[in-house]
Amino acid sequence: MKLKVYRYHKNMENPRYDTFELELKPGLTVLGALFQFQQNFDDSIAFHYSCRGAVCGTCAMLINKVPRLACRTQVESLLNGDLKIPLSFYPAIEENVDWNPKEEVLVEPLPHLPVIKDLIVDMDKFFDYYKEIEPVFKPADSTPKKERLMDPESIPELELYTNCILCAACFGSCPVDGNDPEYLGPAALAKLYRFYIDPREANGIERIKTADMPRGWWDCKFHGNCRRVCPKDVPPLIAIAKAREQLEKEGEER
Amino acid sequence: MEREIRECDVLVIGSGGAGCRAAIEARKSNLKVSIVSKGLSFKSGCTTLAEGGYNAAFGYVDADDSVEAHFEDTMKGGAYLNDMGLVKILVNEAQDRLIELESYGAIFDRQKSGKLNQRPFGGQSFRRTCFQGDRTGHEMMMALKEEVIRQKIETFDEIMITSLLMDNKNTRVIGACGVSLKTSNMIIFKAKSTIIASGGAGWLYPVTSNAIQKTGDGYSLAYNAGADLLDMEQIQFHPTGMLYPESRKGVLVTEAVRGEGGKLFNVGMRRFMRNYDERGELATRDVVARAIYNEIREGRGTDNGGVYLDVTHLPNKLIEEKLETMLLQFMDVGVDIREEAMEVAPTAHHFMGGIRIKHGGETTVENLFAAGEASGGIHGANRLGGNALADTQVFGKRAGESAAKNALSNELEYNEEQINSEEKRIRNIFKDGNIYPHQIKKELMETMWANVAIIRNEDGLKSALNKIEELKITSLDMKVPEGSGYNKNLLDALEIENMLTVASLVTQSALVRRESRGSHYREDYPQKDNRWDRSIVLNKNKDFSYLKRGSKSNCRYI
Repeated sequence: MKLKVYRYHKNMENPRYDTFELELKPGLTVLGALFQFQQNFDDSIAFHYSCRGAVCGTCAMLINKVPRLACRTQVESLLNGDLKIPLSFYPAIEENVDWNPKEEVLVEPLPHLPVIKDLIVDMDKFFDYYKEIEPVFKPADSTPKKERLMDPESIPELELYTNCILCAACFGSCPVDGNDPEYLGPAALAKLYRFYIDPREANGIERIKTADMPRGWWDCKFHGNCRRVCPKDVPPLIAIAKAREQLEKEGEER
Repeated sequence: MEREIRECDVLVIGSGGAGCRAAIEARKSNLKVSIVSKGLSFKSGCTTLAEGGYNAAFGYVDADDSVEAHFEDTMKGGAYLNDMGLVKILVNEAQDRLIELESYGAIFDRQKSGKLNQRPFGGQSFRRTCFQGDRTGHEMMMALKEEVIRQKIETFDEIMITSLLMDNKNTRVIGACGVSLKTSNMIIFKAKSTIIASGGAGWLYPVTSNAIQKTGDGYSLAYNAGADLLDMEQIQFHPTGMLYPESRKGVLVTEAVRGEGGKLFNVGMRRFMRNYDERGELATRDVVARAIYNEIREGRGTDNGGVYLDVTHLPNKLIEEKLETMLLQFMDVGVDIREEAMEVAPTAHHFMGGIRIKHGGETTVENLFAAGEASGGIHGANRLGGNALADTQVFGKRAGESAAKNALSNELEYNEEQINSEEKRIRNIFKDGNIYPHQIKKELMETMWANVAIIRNEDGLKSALNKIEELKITSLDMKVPEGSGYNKNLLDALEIENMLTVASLVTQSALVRRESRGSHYREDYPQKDNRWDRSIVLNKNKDFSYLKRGSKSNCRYI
């Protein structure tokens, strides 16, 4: 099999693709293939990694035109065509690269963020938007001596959103983020919704008003790519739909 | 080399659980606090990876639990090598620190009553471990990160600290020198207090559960600055890590697999655990790890060098519900654990030893503090599951508090001379030598795995020490081309120096301890020996020294 990798650094006029042939072993992940590329082909290749177990959210990249974590994406399944995810179209996933998906795995940087070098993108914008929604817990009461009681029934819905590992795969998959660079994006909005539904907070509708603006809740077109690519099954589009519903209801009552 | 100089009151090295908690505490004194990470902030530590939980003796599930019981379990688990004072602090403060995590927004599992839920864990007399599914560490890190954002604490990504900056008498720490991995430029942090919270050194071994960044940098920084380290031979190997594929080697396979009835088989499809311990698969971690290691060593392992861990006899429904993460973790690499056995081997997991600290996280060097896995003494010779997350919060807070207090009565200093010599040292790394740094890493890891891992003996340890010295010489001839940034060879070269330093300390300490205790097993001295009721202290400027520790008879919570 072959690994076809996007290469770029600031002194290059145009990016190029390098192709490297390696032996396909069962269980080989894209991250494993990249390590082989680094050790046996060109050690100047740059990519991010840390935990190897799909919990830190460091190694999101565009793999066969789908944003995924390199550490949990199996090469064999890609070649077999088992990991196809149908996505709503956006320019970054255009099939503009000559590549044979039966023999090659195509690895490119995550879309919608500036490329620093090879597969490394500048995540600042993604984190700036996340910070903009004020991702800090604002409890209704002052900190008690003992823990606040919580109904265990309230936890599963919260967990849907607290599972987010901030890998930005959703950000790179969202056609709206591609179109409107100001759009806060799925991860930030899902995070905001997580605080809104936290029963320990009692800020009500005020909390979601932080994103009550065109580049917040209202920009989403429900393409649903975010949910399809999320390695942790977080459903930002449900959060967005529910938040809009609340805001609309409040508007009518007023 | 371009140079960038920054100033802060408190510098925190590491953005995992201990580093973040320390930074939050230091910030309370309205000081300028900076957190610097070798990887991406909040993502490159091991706290995020922690699955099981956080021990705090609330007694919500088992009303008979108490801090006294938590203390006794921790001391017993640590084979009484623990620093009793630190353990007392751990058990007394773990509860309040957990409630603080909730005040930062963390969510822990609840009982019907709305109170915290607590699960049973190995080596504990009561259900004491608070948790959030099997993502406890992730939940904690998210809350800590968000509190760091609330407190407007500065964070710096992808900077490797290469040495601590000392005053001109070489006795006090006045900041740190580092290299930006993005640009290969030098960055200097002037700081009134410096906290090392950079975790352990799992990557001394080819099989480890740790994040890739864990190369023992903190131990090396502290040692080179003249700080005491202790108990460096005490390294916990978790019995079951993934063996395959290569890129997931060592990733943890949780103890819950055996808890739910998973069976261990050797390559001849024989169950072997009962040959070692009547508790079978559920014997303590050190026993199971040694048994698996021995099977492999005596030729009864798989081609990949592991044994089988099998749950195929369990109902699918149970696997899907109770072992969901494991099911997915193996599914990712093409193994359906409902249909076939997992291949596992012991994996380097946690350094119980580390930088010697006092009750406030103070090291033996002025202005230098440590917390979390970088520090030592709390867990003795073997750590109980669930005590590490508690440790990060309890001692992270204390280190942050002490560092802030120290900074308030301290001035910024500068040592141009040392910075120049550090720059020269780094420049000298760029060379067209004969061996790539990653090749030295590989040789070192193999040596450590063969001789300084789960079963040790004098000959093996001595040969490892020779090999380490040999590699130190080889490392003078590395091939490190200059590059504009993201220079993997430079990173490897900087790391290998730390790794060789730490590997040497671990091996020396393991040679000195002529007994078997906790995680340290010497086949030539297979018994625990009361004469070794003491910690081994290592210091660059002195010979070995020892600290008297407790024993079962005098271990009391007072």
